[in-house]
Amino acid sequence: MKFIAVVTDKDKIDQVVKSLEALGCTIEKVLRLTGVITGDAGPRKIEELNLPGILSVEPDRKISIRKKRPN
Amino acid sequence: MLLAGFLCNELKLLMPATTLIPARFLREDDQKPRFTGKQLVLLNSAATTKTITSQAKKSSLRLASTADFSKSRTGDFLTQALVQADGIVFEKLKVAIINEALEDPMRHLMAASSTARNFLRTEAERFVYALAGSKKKKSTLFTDNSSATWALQAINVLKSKYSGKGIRVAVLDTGIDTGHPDLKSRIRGKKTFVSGQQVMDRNGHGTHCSGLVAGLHHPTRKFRYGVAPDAQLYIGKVLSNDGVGTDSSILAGIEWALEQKCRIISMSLGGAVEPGEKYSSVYESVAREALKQNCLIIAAAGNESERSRNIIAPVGHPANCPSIFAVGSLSASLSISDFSCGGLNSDGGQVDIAGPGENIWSTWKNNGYRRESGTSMATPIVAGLAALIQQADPDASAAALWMRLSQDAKRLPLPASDCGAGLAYSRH
Repeated sequence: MKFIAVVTDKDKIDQVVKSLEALGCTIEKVLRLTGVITGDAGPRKIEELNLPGILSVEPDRKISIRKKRPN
Repeated sequence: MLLAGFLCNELKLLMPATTLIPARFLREDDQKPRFTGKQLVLLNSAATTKTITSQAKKSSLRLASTADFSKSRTGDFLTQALVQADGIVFEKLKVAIINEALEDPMRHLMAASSTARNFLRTEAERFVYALAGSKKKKSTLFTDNSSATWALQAINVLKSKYSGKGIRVAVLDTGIDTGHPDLKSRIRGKKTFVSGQQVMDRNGHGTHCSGLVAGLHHPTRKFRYGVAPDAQLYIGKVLSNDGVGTDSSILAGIEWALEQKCRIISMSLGGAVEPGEKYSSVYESVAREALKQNCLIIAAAGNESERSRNIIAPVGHPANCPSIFAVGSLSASLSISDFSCGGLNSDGGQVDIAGPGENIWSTWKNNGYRRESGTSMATPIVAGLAALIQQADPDASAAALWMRLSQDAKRLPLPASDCGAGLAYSRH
């Protein structure tokens, strides 16, 4: 499952990335200004990614435009 | 139904509140009298009732106190008090009501050096009336005319001396028609976050939203539709040409907009949430960080409501984050749009402001133009307005910009849960 996560301390984001990789996650993006890590957790549940240094982790959701659909 | 002002005050006295102010309601029509003839007197909140009554007595005013009636507050205690005395002091309110034809002693109390500090101000007591609902059905207030769209008229932007000049606004959407004659000179930065697709917008939605931020006017018809025509556009393509994307692409787009030092991010995108569903902690953290870095994220509340069928859907993700400025949609008669999501969820999920969102004219793909509806349209209109405000006060923080948008909003007779502070409105 793909995930998005935000770290508690942006300065320590690389350590968190290593921890996630050690768990078997594939890291896709490391966004240093906002402290976000995105990636693929494979078969792991999202809750398993709640490692030290992670403030919050959630599934990567589908998003779409907000134009009103014709009835 | 006619209610005398004193009765209203009396009803309030029966409640435990301590800081009530006499209510002021508008008259229903011109046939009803406005004033009772009595006076309301604002007293010094630090003065005791004993001091007040004693000083009044020296000016030949006999004042009763609500405390005298504390054990017998029947419906007519005020009437009794005003028959037996010249007036009554509301102890907790620090307000007195004085009978008719006693203006002279009151003026003396307010003028004399020994008493003026305790008798602060008088005003005529009003009759208050039950508020009648409007009998007239609302008609369309705004229409597109030869000079501008109804949206620009409604947000009062046509007289603004600001154009968004120098303000960087990111539009995270389906990209932009990079060759559109109205827009190409406004594009200062662009990047795609969609694998295998260029920034060029093959959907049209992103071009529409970008035009609402920074389009100027139709090249031949001179018909204005963009709010901040001199704003600098930073286009992040985070949604595919099918209009679909993922959180990870959008977060990458936000990061990029911060790298580009954008002051405003417009996001006409999102996903539906269930009633009671909590907002995303990840986005909330990112939005707070953006605010710290002086960037305001403005997002569409969502279109899942069907109000005509009594269905109001909660503000969607990620607009439901407390630190993201959520925009609802209004019709040209300034009623809430049938589809516009509402602030239902108690944990986040409020609507912060509303903007024009129905039949909104703007640019489209393939050098085109068209009308579209949705909170998608209301959002870049508010983002454009934010750019004008930012230009007017370049040093304003993102938090100050949030506050300015809210304070400047034109209040509407609609629930705040639907339209937040009201209609986005230019005051510059």
